[in-house]
Amino acid sequence: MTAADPRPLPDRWIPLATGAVAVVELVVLRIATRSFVNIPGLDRWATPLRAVGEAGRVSYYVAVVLTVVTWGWVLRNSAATNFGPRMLLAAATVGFAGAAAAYRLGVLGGEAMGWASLASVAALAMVAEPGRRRIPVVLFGGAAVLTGLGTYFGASGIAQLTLSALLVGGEVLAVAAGISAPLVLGERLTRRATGLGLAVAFAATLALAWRPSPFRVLVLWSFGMPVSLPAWTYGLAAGLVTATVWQAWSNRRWGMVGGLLLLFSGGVGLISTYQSALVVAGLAALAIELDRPLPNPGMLPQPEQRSLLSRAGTVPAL
Amino acid sequence: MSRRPLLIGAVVLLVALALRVFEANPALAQAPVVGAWRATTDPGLDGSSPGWQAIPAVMVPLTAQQVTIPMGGGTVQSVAVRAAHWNGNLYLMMEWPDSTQDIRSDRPELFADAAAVQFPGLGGAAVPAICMGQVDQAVNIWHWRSDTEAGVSRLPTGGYVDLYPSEEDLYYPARAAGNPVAVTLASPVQSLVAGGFGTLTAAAQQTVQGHGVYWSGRWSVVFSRPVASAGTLEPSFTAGTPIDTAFAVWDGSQGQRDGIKSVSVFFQLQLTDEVAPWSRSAGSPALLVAAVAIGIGLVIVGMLAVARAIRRAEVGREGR
Repeated sequence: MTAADPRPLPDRWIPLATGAVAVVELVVLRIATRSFVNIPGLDRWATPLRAVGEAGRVSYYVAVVLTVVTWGWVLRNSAATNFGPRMLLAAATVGFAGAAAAYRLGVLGGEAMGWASLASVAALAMVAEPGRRRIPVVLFGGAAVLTGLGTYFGASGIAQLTLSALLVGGEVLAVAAGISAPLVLGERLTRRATGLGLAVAFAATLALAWRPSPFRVLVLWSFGMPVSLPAWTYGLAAGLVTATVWQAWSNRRWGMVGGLLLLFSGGVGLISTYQSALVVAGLAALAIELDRPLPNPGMLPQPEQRSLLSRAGTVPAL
Repeated sequence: MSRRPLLIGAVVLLVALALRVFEANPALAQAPVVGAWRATTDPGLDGSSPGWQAIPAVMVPLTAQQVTIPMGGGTVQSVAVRAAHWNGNLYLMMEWPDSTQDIRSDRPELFADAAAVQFPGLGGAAVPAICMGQVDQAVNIWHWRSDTEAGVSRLPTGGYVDLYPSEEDLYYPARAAGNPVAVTLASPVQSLVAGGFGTLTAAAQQTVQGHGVYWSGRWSVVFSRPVASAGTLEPSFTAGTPIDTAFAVWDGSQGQRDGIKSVSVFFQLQLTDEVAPWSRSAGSPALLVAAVAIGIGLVIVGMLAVARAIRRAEVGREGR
């Protein structure tokens, strides 16, 4: 298969499923169980909360295993890209996977794992086909690298000013990545996607401006950002990411949806091998997706066709 | 519909459930590791001693607590952390510069210097929320206060205090009710547990010892506890098994108390059987940042150059 091959990649449901389960884990385990503690009369809710926590923990393990499967999907489909990017994709993915395994087994030290994460993320952010569609991916990779530098090497005694600059710089790039997210589509946002994005942007801005304390906590936990920029910038980024995911979903670009969801759930903190693995898988999935030709609008399935297929009892293969 | 997604999904679910049942978490936190080295003699609780000072420190950056009200702090920019274990006890030392020794809190406007270490309450599958844990994952906090260390019996100058002549519990209801602040503490360190904001409470067993020394314009505070867990929400420390650890410091002269403090992210603490101290040279901060930036830049530029050259060669071949 070459870069010009317009056929859909096989098993595109894998990054999509991984991204979806990771988002469930993010919402249930990282956000809900940490937010429910503020419900008055906690004792009455202890049993259902434990059940929700357990569900979140199971989704965490499913996401971990699916992430490994996604790495396999990336390696298999890296053949669909050109030779240079293919080599980089394979090297960065296998390098990160090997480093994470060695780190878990205690063979590799923390600093080496930090370097491996940064190198993999930097390589994967640059591997996609050059052009405007790559801009959000490069910005996200830059955000993760800057934040990761602050996380891993802040302990080595770097000056507080430098540490703050790294973290704020990472946050600025992360917000810029969110705002520029529609570029990955290679087409203009539809009215419906724009409307949805505006609604989410308005709601997110309102939430951050109205109740800054709890929502700051959620942003910090979920995306590794301390929220040092104006609320509207996060709202705008959230709205445009939502619109992008919606439109990619509508166009049945599952690999792109999966990649975006993986980056969304991984965040820029790179604070654990799990979150770094999500980011690595997301960047790799997007690199493969962006290296492929844009779908011909005329070939996209129309709603009527889909309903006919459904009525006939046939589910379109992902 | 192809059976392949169902088959892969089933295998994924089975493996995930097995990992969950056996609590075999494949992921780890990536923050730097604080090594607790095996000591050949009792390290003691005096952080200013030559033995403690000989152990290389890991510098932990701190920042203002900006998560929940009351927010603030950030005036202490970093804390040096050293750790050792001896005879079944873990020793952890925090050292930070402080130009004022604030040991009194007997007036409304006075606040004491303090320090705290936080661990997950149980060896869990995931790292708990750093701010007081979460509902299904408690945290255990060791809280040292300089005013407790100095003794709470001193009275404010010129102040009046009602004291009942009787020592019976009838006249000391807080003490009789077991209020941990009212009882006389055997240690300046209190062990606390929490499962989210507003749930902080004293641990059932108070087994953490500690001692703070103010010397040469800095505090050196040593915490010590048996490595075996004393309660259900207090972790055990095992050689070779890293545990997530976070740090916090309060500067009393800056009005810091409660949530107004300087905090770190989670680091990892790992007990090791090695005797030799682990040298972790920090090097020049500016040099380190420059080296990291240049290194990453070179790697990226090199990879891009290789990729472009290969792509050009492929395009050339196709053109021919």
